[in-house]
Amino acid sequence: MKKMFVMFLKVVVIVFTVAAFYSVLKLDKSWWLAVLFAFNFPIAASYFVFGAGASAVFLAAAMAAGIIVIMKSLAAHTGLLPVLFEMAGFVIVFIMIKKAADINHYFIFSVKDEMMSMEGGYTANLVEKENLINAVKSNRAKLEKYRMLGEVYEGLDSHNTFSSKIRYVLRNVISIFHQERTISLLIARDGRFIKVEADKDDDILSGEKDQEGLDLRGFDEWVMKNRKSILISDMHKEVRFKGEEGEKNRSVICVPVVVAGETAGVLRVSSEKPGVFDREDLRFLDLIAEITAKVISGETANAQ
Amino acid sequence: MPNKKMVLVFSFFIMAAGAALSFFLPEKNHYHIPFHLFIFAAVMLSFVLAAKDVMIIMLLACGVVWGMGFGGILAKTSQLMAETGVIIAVIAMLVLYDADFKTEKNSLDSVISYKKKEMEALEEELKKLSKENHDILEEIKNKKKIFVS
Repeated sequence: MKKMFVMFLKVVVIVFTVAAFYSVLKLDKSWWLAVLFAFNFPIAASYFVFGAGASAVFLAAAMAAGIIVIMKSLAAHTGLLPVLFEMAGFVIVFIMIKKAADINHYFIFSVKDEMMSMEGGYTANLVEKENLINAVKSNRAKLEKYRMLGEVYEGLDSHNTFSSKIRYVLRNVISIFHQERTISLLIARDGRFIKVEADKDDDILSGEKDQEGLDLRGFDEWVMKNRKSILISDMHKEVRFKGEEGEKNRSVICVPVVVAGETAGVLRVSSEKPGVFDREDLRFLDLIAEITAKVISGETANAQ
Repeated sequence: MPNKKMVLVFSFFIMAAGAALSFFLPEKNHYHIPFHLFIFAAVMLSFVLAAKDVMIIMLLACGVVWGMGFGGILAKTSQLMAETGVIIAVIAMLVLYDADFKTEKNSLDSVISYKKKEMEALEEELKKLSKENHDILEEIKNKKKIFVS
């Protein structure tokens, strides 16, 4: 409907201008100024239906009509001042309308700019929301692990012997990590080692052997010696520690168990899948090592 | 518009001057040039007033000049009629343009206000999520403290 109306207006403006031109040429001098004044309509209307460029063309047409009237006035020996005033009027009307349209355009552009910047901000917030949802999800899972670890920690009091405490801790923490993984605790005592192990099938194995008889790996020794944690994403690609032939374990994390400033052992979690562990798992294993260290420390105190 | 008052005063001054000059200047030499000044006033008024008000004011002002025509001060009434028609046509164009602009402005305003509400809701949601995340991290920190103490 609006398009039809604009189209109609365009036709009216063009027909009006042609008619006004014809009138300037044909009508007597009493009508010259009235007809010239009529050119203000196409100047104003064309600005809105065609645009600024077209309006300038209609202004030029009005000026041409003005020049024709000047020539006719000269021939008729009448005053030129009213004609010149009328022509100046065209320019003033054109400038005023242009000014108003520019203000409106500026307003529209600034609002659209504001909208675009709001859309940018909204998109950035959506990304932030997505990141926060993921962070909350992962932190909730982390918190759940810490809660479970807390329960394990509180349950320690119900066990009396050192062996039962250690078995209890390892059996429960491996379920926090995941079922298909294995956790090993190697405790060094007077040059001998106790190995306690838990996995998805057998909950516990324990033994007291010398260093050679145990499955003490290069990275275990490195952790004991340097008292630093280690994360190995894939044993098959590992260059620092040589794996055994037919190595089953691909991912390993290993942390020292420190009691009274001395390395009392190492705690190791391994999986047959590569890239299973991350820094967070290492930090979590560090906490398990803290709990284990407390158990060992309590046992040492009892023995003394 | 910041200088609305000034525009109004200037427009009314032009109309008053136009009417006065139409009365005093001889029509034979100056035709209806003073009446043509009304078109500037009409354009200026359309910037600051509602379409209906502009139309009423201009018709009243034109009525004064038409009164001179009926009173015999202005003789060329046919031309006066055509010129009045042109002024009304120009005002009509300005009114249409203004209405079109206001429609666009209103639609943009409503989009902006909707987007602002949407943004506020999202920011509120972000605040909640941030607080929840912070609380969880605090709880984790507390749990860690228990283990390492």
